Amino acid sequence: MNQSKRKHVLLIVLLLLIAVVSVGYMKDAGQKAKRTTITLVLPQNTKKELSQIQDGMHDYASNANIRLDVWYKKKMLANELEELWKEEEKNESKGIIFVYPEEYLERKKGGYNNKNVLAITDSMKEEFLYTASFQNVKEETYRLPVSETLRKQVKTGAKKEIYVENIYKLAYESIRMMHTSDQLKSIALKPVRMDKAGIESGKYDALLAW
Amino acid sequence: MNKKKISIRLVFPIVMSASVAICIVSCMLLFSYYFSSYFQKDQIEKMGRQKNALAQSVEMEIEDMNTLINSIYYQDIKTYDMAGTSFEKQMQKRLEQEADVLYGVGVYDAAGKMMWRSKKMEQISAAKVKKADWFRKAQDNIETIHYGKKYLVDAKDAKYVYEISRYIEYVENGNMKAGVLCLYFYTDPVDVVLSHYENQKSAYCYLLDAGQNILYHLFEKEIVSGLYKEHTQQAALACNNYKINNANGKKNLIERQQIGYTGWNLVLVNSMSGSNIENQNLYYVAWIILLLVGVILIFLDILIFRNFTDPIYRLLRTMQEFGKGNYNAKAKEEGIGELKNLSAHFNIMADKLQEQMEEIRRNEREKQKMEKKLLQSQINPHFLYNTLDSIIWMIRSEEYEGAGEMVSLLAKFFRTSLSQGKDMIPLGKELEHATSYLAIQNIRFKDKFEFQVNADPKLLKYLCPKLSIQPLLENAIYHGMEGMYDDGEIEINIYEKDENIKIDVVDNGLGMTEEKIDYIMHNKVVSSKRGSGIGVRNVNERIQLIYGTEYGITIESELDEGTTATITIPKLEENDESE
Repeated sequence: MNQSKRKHVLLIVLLLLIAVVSVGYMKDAGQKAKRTTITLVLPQNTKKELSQIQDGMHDYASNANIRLDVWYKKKMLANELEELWKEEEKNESKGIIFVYPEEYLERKKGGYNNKNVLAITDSMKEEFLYTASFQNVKEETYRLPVSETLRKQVKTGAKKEIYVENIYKLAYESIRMMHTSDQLKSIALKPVRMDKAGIESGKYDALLAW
Repeated sequence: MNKKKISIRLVFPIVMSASVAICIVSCMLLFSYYFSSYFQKDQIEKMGRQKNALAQSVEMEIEDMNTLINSIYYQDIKTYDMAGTSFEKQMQKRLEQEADVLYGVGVYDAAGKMMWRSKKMEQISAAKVKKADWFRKAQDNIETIHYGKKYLVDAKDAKYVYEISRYIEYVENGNMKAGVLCLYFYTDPVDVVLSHYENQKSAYCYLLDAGQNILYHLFEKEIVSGLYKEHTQQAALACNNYKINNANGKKNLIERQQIGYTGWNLVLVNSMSGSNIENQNLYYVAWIILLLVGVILIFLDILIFRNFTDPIYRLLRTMQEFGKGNYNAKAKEEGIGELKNLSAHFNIMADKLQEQMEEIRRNEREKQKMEKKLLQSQINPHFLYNTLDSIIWMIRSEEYEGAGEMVSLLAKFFRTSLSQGKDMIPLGKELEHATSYLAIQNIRFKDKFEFQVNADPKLLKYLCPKLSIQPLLENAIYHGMEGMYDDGEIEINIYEKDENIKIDVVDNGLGMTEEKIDYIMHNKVVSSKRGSGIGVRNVNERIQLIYGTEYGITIESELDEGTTATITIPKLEENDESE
């Protein structure tokens, strides 16, 4: 093969390579929105307030194209958490969010030191590295969903104001943080102050609806 | 200046490849531009159709509400006396019938006092009613139905209602009075219609009331929680039909449609980047096609280019070979059109040139032959003249016996000289010829010198140029012997050295200076006078013409000691090429 022929062959190979690389790049670009998996562990005895958490999780998950791997647990031993994480790692899960683990997870001496675990909890904050909870305020707080009676009390002026823990937001922020951050951190949200004017204007209706 | 030659084989493919690459990129850019415009237009049209369909569906729901409101007003409120029990019954019946769409009804007099209300409706003070928007608007514009805010009426079941009012005239105790009718319609029918539209952040819709409050939004909960902010609202209200809005690094297509009777605005938002991803497959296919076209174009370019340049390069190589002296080199007559003619014409030219060169060579050979003949012919007169001169001298001196011997020797000499016209004769014959000559000269000079022949008999069969020794002998006699008082000696030695034949003619005469030897060997001497050296030079030139310049005559001489002239010739037998 003479040199000129070799040059031409090289040129064609180069063009084909460009084609292959471009196609690969475009294919990758098309698949950029690859689904992330996040594991969600909920107590099996579902309370009404959990629906708000699930709403928050699902709303974010559907917007951000996240696959939720949901587990309902009645009881969970300390070693089961490790097994669960190993299993979820195989599923390429980015992390686990425990919702109120105090209702099903065994307390462990020294706590759980998993870096990819976030717990939405009231009473197990010490057990986990990262938690999502509400800040303590002096005033009495209520958790969503707020009862009709309480709402009417504020509307009629029987109660001047109430502080409501927006667990929808807590769940939404928790999953968003796990999705977008490489390093987890703890979340502490302030309760929302709702007064008569706010409730009468319908400003909080979307939150107050169950 | 040493300028590097740029090969057409390098320039042409680069130029062509660059052109193809530019074409592909240009096509891609044009393609992208036109397809983007097309997709954008298509998206706008598609979204426009969806918006119209949604708005139409919402308007149908509104129309149903209007129909129900008018029905309640004209068939119930205006027909029955509010003070009577039949009114209550009729209203309850109506509420039961329309329970799935109607939450509650309230009738207020012109002062805002509640005249009648369904069970679910709250008791509101007249002062508060008078301040309410729905009440004021109904009184201000008695011809139309007013669509107000959205309220949460049942938190547990997440039931919302629209607050709708209109001016009415009702009958109380037989008297017609003016008032305001307030109705709470469930939002569900409208929400269901709107929820049919795509529900993602890249494509969604929302509904605003006349006061720009949100009546429906897919992300209402997120907005209330501060997790999402609707950035398109102002842009939507500012546009008449559609608008492409860049907000927060996102490019959105926004379309707005006003809902009839209500003053509401339906807004559709579609992410442009989202639609681009959907159309990426088309770009992907187009890109592959363009690249393949590029490869094919370059391949074709190479084929055509090779067909074009290969014959030229072959012709060039042939010309180079021809230039180096291979006159048999011929160009292959192939290629496209004129290129084939080029090779053909080169071949014709080469043939002509070869013919001419052959003619020149032939002429040269003839010229050499002529020269040889001429040189040979220069020897014969010398010899004949000298010999006859000696015979004459002997006859005059009455030495008849010697003259007879001399004539006999001369005859022998000439027989050898003729040699059937051959130029090359065996060394034996040439030696015989030389001996005859020496004998003749010896008689002539009265035995003034002695001669001796020492020849290797094995060499006598080899060929040598005719009459090559005799001029050396002549030179030895005339230069060496003349003026000597003692008897001279001449020796002929024939021997082999370095695969060549050496013929030495040695005399013990006066010898010659270097200048004289040089003069004899190199300067042109036109005189044929004896001993002028012309014979020696002729022989030298003849030998070199026949065998080449490495052969010929060398002369070594020392004053008062003698001279040795040596002929060097190759060993060639009669069968070998002699001329």
